[in-house]
Amino acid sequence: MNWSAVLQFIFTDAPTQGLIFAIVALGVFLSFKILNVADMSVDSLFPFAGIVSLSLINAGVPAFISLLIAVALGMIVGYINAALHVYLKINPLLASIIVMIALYTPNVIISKGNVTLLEGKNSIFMEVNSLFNNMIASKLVLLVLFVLVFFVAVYWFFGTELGLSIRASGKNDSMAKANGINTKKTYILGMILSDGLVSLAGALYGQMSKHFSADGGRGTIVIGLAIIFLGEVIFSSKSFKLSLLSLAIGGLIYWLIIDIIIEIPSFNTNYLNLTKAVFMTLVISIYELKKKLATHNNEENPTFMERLKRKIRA
Amino acid sequence: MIKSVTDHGNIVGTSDAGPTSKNIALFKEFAGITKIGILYNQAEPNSQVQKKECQKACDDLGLTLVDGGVTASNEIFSSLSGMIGEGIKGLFVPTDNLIASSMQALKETLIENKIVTVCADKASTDKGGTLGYSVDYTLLGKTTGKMAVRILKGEKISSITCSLSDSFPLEINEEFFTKTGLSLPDSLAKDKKI
Amino acid sequence: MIELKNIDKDFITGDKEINHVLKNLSLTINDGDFITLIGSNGSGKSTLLNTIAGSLKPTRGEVIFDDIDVTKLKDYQRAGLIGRVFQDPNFGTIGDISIEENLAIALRRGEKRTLRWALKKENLKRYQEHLSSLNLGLEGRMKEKMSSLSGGQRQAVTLLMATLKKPKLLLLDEHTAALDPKASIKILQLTDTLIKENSLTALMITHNLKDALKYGNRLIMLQEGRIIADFSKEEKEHLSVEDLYKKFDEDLNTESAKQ
Repeated sequence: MNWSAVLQFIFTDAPTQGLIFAIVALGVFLSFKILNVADMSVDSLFPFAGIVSLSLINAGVPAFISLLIAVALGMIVGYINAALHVYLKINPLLASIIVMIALYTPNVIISKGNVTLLEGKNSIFMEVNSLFNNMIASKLVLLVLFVLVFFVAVYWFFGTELGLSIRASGKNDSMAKANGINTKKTYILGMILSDGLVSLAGALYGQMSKHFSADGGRGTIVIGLAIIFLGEVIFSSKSFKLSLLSLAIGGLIYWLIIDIIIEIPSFNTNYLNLTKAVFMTLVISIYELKKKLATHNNEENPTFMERLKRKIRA
Repeated sequence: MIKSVTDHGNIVGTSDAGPTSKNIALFKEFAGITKIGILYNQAEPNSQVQKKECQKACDDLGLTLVDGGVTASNEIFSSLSGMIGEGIKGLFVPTDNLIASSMQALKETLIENKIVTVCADKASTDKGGTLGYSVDYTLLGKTTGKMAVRILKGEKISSITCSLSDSFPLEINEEFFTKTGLSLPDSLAKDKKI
Repeated sequence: MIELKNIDKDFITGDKEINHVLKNLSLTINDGDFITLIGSNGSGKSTLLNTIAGSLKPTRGEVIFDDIDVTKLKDYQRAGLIGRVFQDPNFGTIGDISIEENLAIALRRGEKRTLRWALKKENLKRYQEHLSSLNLGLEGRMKEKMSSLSGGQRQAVTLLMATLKKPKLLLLDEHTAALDPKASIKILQLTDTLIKENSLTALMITHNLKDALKYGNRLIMLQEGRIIADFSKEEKEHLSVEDLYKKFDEDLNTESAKQ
C-alpha cells in the first residue's frame, strides 16, 4: 500500500469534493426541504454548468465571467423548471425529470461528449494559484470562500420577510396564501435559487477537475440528499442555522467516508454505487428512527429527564 | 464477429487489435515496477478482451495487476486514486473510448505520482500517457482501402484474408519524462519513432 | 362594510351534475358586527366563508369590501383585508418553524415582503406583549417550534396572528370544534375579548347553538345555501336553542311543500 498517496488523496480530495458538494447539498436543500420537491434536473444541471463554464473558458472567456454565465443559465433553467409546474400544472417531480432529459441535448452538443480545459487556459483556481503557488491551497481557499459567502447569504436571505415567505409557502400553502403570500411566485423564486446554487457547484467542479463528460452528473441528486440526511442525523434540525451548518459539515464527512472506502484495496468503483445506496438507506433509517423517538418524547410523553425537570419546577 | 481471419464468410475488414503483450512487456524495462493497474470501460467488450490479454501478459511476466474497471466517466478518477493508493507504479490503458476522453484530465495525477502509463493508442499517449506501442491508423486505413478496392474489382469476400495491423510504432510522450525526472530506458531509446 | 350580492356557487359533481351550494345569497356585514353563523352540514357555511375569503370564486355575484369589488381578486390578494382561523389548529400555523416566525409572517399579511429582516427586535417585543396577554406562558417560548404547542395553544396563537394586523373582517371557521371543552371555552372567551378590544368585524361559524346565541350581536341561519333567518341582538336574547331547531324544521317543511 502506498500510504502517502492514500493519505494525500483522502486529505486533498475529501475537503475539495466535500466543499463543492456542500453547495450542491445547499441547492438540493432548498428544493427538497423548502419546496418539497426532489429536483431530478440536478443530475443534468450539474454537468451542464460545468460544461458551459469550461467551454466558455476554452473559447476565451475569463474564468470568473464564465462562472457567472453558467450560474445565470442555471437560474434560467430553474425558472423553466418551476414554470412547468406553476403555469402548466405539471407535477413538480415530472417537471424536473422533463428538464433533466431536456438538458441531455445541450450537454452532449456543447461538450461533444466531453470537454477538457485546453492547455494555456486558466480556471479560477489556476488564476488564484498565482497568489499561492500551491494548487491545493488555492482550491481550498477559493472553495472555502465560496461556501462561506453562499451559506451566509442563504442564511441571511431566508431570515428576510421574502425568504421567510418562501419557507412558509413550502410548508403550508394555504396558510401562506391566507397571509397574502403569492405561493406561485415564491415557488419560482425558490427554484431559481436552488438551481442557481447547483449550477455554481457544477461550474466550480468543472473548473476544478478541468474536465466534464456529458453524463458526468449521474447520481448528483443522490449525493445531495445523502448529505442532507447525514447532516440531520448528526445535528438534528433544531434551527435553520443549524440545518445549514449541518450541510457543510455533512458534505465533508460524506466525502471523507467515500474516499476512505475508495482507498480500500480491491475496492472496485462499481461497488461505489451499491455502497452509496446502502449508506443512504442506513442514514435515512437512523434519521426516521430519531424522528420517531423525538415525537414520542414530547408534551404528552415526556422523557425521564423532562419528568424530573417538571417535578423540580413544581 | 468472425471465427478467424480466413474463416469469416461474407464479413471482411481490418482490425485495430493492438499488441497487448508487447505493451505490458514495456513495464519490465523500467526498474521497480511490480504492480500495475488497468483502467477500462467494463461495459465495452473490446476492452474486456484487452483486459484478459493484459492479465495473461502480467501473469507471464510476474506482474501484479490491479483491476480498475469503471462503468461511467465520473468513476475514473476515483478508480485511479484507489489504484495509486494500492501502490501501483504503472498503468495500462487499452484502446477504450471512455478512458481516452479523460486522459488529458488524468495527466496531472499520473505525472505527480510518477505512474508509467502505457497506452495502446497514440492519442491517449499524447494526451496524458507515457509511452506505448500503438496501432498506426493511417496505415490501417490504407490497408482497409486496398481491401475495398479488391472487393469492388470483383474478388469474393470470403477469399480475402482479414488483416491485423502488423505495424506498431512505439509512441513516446517526452513531457512525462521531463516533468517526472524519470529517464527513458536505453533499451527503448533505439525503438523510438523519430 | 362588507357586502355579498347575489352569490351563487355551483359545484360540478362527477356525473356532470350541478350542486347548487349557495343560492342567490346576499348579505351585508356592517362594521363592528360579530355574526354567528349556524347551519347543518352541507348548508354552505364553509363555502360561504371561502367565497368571502377568495379561496373560492362565486359562479355568480359579487363580493365587495368597503365599496371595492374584490370578486376577481385571488385569496392571497385579498388576504390583507381578512384574518382567518381554521378548524384545524395545524392549518393556520406552521409547525416546523418558531412561534415568532409564525407571528412575523402574520404581521406582514397583505404587505409587500422585502429583504428586510423578518425578526426585527422591535417586533419581537410586540409579540412578547401580545403573547403574555394570552396568559399561556408562551411569551417565554417564542423561539420554540409551533409544533411543540398543544392544539388549544396553537389556536390561541392563530387568533393572535389573525388580528396582529387589524383585519377588515375576521373569519372563524368552527375554530373550537377540534379542541377539548376546556380549551374550547378559553378560545371563545379569547375570541370575544379580542373582537371587543380591537372593535373587529367578525363572522364565526359554529356548530354549538348555545355559543351562537351567547356570542355576537347577530345570528344568521343558513340552510341549503340560503339565509333563512337573520336575528339582531335584541331578537337573539329572546331565543332558545329549541327555537332555533324549530326554525330549521319550519323552513325545511316550507321548502319541501314548495316542491
